[in-house]
Amino acid sequence: MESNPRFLITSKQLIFIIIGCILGFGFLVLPREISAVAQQDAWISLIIGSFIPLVSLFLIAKLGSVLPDLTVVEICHMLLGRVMGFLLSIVVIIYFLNLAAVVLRGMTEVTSTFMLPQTPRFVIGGLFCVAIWYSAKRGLKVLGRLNEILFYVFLLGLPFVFPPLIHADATNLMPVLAEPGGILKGAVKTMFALSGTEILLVVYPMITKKEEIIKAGLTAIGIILMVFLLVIFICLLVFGSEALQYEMFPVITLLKTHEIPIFQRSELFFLILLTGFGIKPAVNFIFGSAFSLVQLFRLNVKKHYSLLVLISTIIIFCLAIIPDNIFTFFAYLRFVGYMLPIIAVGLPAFLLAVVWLRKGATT
Amino acid sequence: MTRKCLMILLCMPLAFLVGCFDYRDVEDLSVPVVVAYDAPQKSDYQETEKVVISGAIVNPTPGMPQNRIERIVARTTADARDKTAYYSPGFLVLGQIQVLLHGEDLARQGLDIDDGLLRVAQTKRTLYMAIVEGRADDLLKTKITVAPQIGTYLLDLLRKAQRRAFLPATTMHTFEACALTTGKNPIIPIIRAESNKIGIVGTGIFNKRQLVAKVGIRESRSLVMLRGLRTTGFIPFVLEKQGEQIDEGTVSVTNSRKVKVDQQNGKITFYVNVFLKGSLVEHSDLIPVDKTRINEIEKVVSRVIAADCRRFIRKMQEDFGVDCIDITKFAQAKWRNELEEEIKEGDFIRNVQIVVNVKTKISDVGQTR
Repeated sequence: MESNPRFLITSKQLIFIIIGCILGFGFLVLPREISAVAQQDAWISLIIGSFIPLVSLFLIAKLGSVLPDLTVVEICHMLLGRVMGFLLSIVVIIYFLNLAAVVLRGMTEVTSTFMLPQTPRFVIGGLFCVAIWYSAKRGLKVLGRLNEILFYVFLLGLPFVFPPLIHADATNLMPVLAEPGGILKGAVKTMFALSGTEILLVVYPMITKKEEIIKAGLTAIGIILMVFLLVIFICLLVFGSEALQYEMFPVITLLKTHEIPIFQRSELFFLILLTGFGIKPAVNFIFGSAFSLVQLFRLNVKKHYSLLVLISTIIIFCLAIIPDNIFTFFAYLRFVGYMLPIIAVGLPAFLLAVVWLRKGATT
Repeated sequence: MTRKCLMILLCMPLAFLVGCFDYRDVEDLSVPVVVAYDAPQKSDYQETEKVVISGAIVNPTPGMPQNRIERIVARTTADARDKTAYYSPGFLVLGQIQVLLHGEDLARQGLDIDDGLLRVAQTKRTLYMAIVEGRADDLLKTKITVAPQIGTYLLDLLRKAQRRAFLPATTMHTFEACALTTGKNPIIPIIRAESNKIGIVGTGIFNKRQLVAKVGIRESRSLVMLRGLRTTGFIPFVLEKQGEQIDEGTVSVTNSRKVKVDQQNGKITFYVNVFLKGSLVEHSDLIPVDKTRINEIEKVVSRVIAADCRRFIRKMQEDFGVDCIDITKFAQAKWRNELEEEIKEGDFIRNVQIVVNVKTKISDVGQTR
């Protein structure tokens, strides 16, 4: 694998891949989801919630330092045997596919609601799938570049969230720490938006400078945390936690609250940029699932990877059209989010425990 | 070969380009610029019809009048969209609505009706709202002479009011944020048509979505100052010494406010400090103005505004019973959980003490003394 340049990335590209996995559709609904339980303390919930990707990063890096050249599928096979290894790998692949399906459906909903209301959702989803398939089949190196470019596209859209601050009301953030129980519940609700660091389970062996992985991961999580905090603060300041509950996609509605001279309706510019960077987590997760499938069935990467990307894309398309309506979709999104601690923290912790137990037994 | 296959595959989506589904020719569109809602009149009354929707519509279709006013009696606002299809040409594009008017009768029933617009993702949240004294559909028939279209005229009138006078400018966002938040209540400017003119005549005070009171222009000034809406306007003054008028004139000021809240023995006291900062625009005395005269002007302006504000607060606490000056939030910021019930019951603002202070600073006198 290391000899295949299509699947080698630098630590700098890793930063953009982790950002690309986390920063997509989730942050559009995150302020509403958290403030529903944590109210004005939603930002504290986010900080607490961000410990999950942090712990995940350290655990995966530790696991990788022990078995640096193996992906999660290979590690499962090696440590747990064929059957258990196969089953656990399938769980990881299903998880990645569901994450991709959530992003795809979310972006389809946003595009359909705000931009193309008359276009059938399967057409929008289908077109997104073509883009996902084409990007993912090029391999991780291209994904690294794509994530980097799309991050800069996101940065172009980010300034649009500031002008609505003209409606900011600082009292919307007070009192701080009003309900600790709500804050903790809110931290659980951040899960769906913070899924992404677990892509390291697959890409770890493909990073050229492994000693920089922790630094790159921390940088990525730091950037994500800053962006999410910014968005949550602005949404709380402008809407307040109560009014926020009435907005389906609060970040987009936020842009509609103020008109910028010359640009006029900034949400339209943001939506155009969003159609690019919003879908990229799905591309990354499709890569994760397709590459894991190649390894699971011991296939040739050069021959079969592209085909498996296509199959994975078709699967996520089918998964994405299953939810009947947006509420079923949100339930689906939360369910996939609750899987984060299991896959991102539980799985590497379990594998590390097995490694240590085996080491102990050998000694 | 692979590349060719890939190109074919990538070109396949062209067959069902998304534009085909959402494509609308500009000439097929009807673009409402102003939408007005009224309660039905006796002549409109049918058992199921609950609202009269009128609109000032721009019509880009060649060969048809560019502007038209439509009026539909319907069960709901969205039902009206269905009815327009029976006789009105063009697809309605709701994304360009700039002004939303409500007749006074309907506003007194409550503005729950706006859900029909809020739910449409293409609708702007920056559309300006006004309550019409009388009927909104009648107001749209006003033959205004100062602008080519009533839509652009109303938009300019409402949008710029806050920068030209002590009047509020309420967008759909500000209205919704207040109506949906505990302790907050929206205010909306009131407009009236007189012969060929349409003008702002006061402010409507809401208890959540329901119009509960109206105040005139002078009280609107106190209202926006106490509410902390940043406005700029002109205040006339009269200086007297020993019962005799020695000077009169006008100052142009921009207002701001600071609120402190304190609780002693269970009694909540708000200290509202209103700051006015601006310039002397004119005065009648021919003697050049000096520091002493400026101080006298500042004092008299502060005194007049403070008296107006105190009168307004008394009225708010005794008559309106709703916090229209948006100070409850400062108490919530300190004691949100403790006060939640009392605020929801609605008597909170009647039971608090409000102390107002006004400070004026005239820093500019123009190019003459």
